[in-house]
Amino acid sequence: MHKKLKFNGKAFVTYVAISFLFVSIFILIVFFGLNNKIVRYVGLINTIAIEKKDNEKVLKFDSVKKRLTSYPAYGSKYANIKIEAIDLTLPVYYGDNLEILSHGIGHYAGSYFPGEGGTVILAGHNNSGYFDKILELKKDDTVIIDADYGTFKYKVDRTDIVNENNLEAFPIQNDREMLILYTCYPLGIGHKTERFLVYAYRAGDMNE
Amino acid sequence: MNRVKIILRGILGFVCSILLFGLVILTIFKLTIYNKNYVLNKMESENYYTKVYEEINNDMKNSLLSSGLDETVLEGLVTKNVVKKETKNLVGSIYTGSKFKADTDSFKEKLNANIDNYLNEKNIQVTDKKSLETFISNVVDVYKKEISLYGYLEDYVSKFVKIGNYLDMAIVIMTLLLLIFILILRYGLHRRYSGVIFMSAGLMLLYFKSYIYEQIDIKNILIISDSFSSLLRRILLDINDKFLFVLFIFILVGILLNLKNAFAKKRKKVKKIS
Amino acid sequence: MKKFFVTFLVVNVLLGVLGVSAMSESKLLEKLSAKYNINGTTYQLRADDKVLAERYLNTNEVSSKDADYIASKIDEAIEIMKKSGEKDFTNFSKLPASLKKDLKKLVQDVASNTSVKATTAKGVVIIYNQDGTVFAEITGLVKNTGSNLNIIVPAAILVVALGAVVLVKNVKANA
Repeated sequence: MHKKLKFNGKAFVTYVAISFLFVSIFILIVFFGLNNKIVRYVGLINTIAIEKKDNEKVLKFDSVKKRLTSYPAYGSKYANIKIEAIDLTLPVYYGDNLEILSHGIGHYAGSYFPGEGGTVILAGHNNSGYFDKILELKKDDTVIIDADYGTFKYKVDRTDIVNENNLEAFPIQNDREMLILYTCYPLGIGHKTERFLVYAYRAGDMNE
Repeated sequence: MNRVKIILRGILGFVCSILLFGLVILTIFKLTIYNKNYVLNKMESENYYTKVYEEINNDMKNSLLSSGLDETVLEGLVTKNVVKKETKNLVGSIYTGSKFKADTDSFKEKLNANIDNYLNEKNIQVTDKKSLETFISNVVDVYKKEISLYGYLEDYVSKFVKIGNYLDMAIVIMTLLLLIFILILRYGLHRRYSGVIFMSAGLMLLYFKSYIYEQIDIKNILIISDSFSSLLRRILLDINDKFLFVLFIFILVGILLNLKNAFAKKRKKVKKIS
Repeated sequence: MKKFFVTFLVVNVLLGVLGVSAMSESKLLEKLSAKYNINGTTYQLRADDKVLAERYLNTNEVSSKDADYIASKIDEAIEIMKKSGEKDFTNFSKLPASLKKDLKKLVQDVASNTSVKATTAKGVVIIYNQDGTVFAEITGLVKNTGSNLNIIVPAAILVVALGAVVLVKNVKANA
């Protein structure tokens, strides 16, 4: 009896072809049956897939539209705040999370930028070397925001002490350029339930 | 009859391929995400505990500003061992479906003691006790949230456990069905489809990996915290490597089995002639 | 007239930013800034969120394709909320399960059909610009208040978090 082993190429090709046929059917089922769901969930997952970049943006100001043409990245320094009356010069960062506030003054993202003609809100801790001295500010004291795109001068109008939950003390509007500086109040140990606010209005653009 | 056999073979062969494909996916998940020891090992290798420890300390320092206290009150509050212990408890609770409760009592006790020491040393009298208590609660809250991953996973724990319970059952059932169908194919329908099944399953895995997995930008996933994201990315990439390994093996085994079956077919033909 | 601010709409805009052409930016902002009466309560976008929406539209290059899509999703959101019969949308977690599910699906539609990038980290929602830089962290206005927002954040479905944060942030203001 012959027991000769010979390779049946045709059979091998048939097996491979059947494999590919099965895979094709599988792909069709997935594509027509599950594609929408897959696309949706992949899309959702990719929403949180972020290639973080730290762009050093060149800031430019459109004086006609009164808007920046590009904004600083959140967390980046874009200005210095200078208050001669209390010998204060501090960096101003876009954003005001706790990490940012540990480095300097934070600009609330939901407020306008200096020069845009609206409310600019800057926050700082009440520690020495931060905003502790703003409690000494008086009417007509000058505050200068020296931004990468221009320099803006403000005059203190008034100060106030409000409860931390009083959002109406921070009116966000764009009728008139207003600067609000705030810090925790009073000084001392523990969590502060009040905020000390300084309201200042635009005194004129030093670039003019 | 022949036609019916052919169709039956085709259907069973296809079903077996799908079963094998599904089995691989479930098994890989069983060995990785649904394996507590695997996750704990990954945490060790990714220095997860150190990263969380650093994040907690950084956040506590940031919340200290404006409190009038300095960093000495944070000394000894959190250690890497404590982070490790609490994280292991968190992981344990996820796999058992129980609610995780961070041990904040000893943390709060230490913080209170540190603050008392600080105030005594500096000779500071606190008139507003409530504001100090609120501050202490805030710091405890920071610690609790960091340790428990901000409670993000809580909503998913019960679903996770439920799926895990079905996973074992599914693997057993699929394995049994696969064996039965292969035996039917081999002895009932006289077709050696083992090579086809392995090769198809391998190609299906290849498609699954390229179509779905490759579309997810795993290396840039960012959620909950940097430490958690780094761990999640590592696990997903590891799963990806496992898929790659298995599909390669399957395709290779499929090719070899197809070759073997092709030889076997010829031998039978030779027998018949003589 | 009571004013409730619906930042959920802002989220839809922020999420769907890619679709809006320069011509329809102002239209979309108008749509966002409009007052919506939902089951007897008037909703309006909060001022700081309007600033964010405007800034996001100005910062990120948009195509004209999705403008209608976003606007339609906003309308759909309003319809869903109206049909629910609910009057108070200030706490997402307290909404009926079916309504939460519908709103989640809506937000997921926008998230999966646009290339918005957003994530949630340390209890805060972070939105990214198209160039990968951080656009903003969605946090409370007044810092260090000690009262943290109760953010319901399903980990895997990030955009739902945006919807939840947004709805939680609604502020009641006396007329």
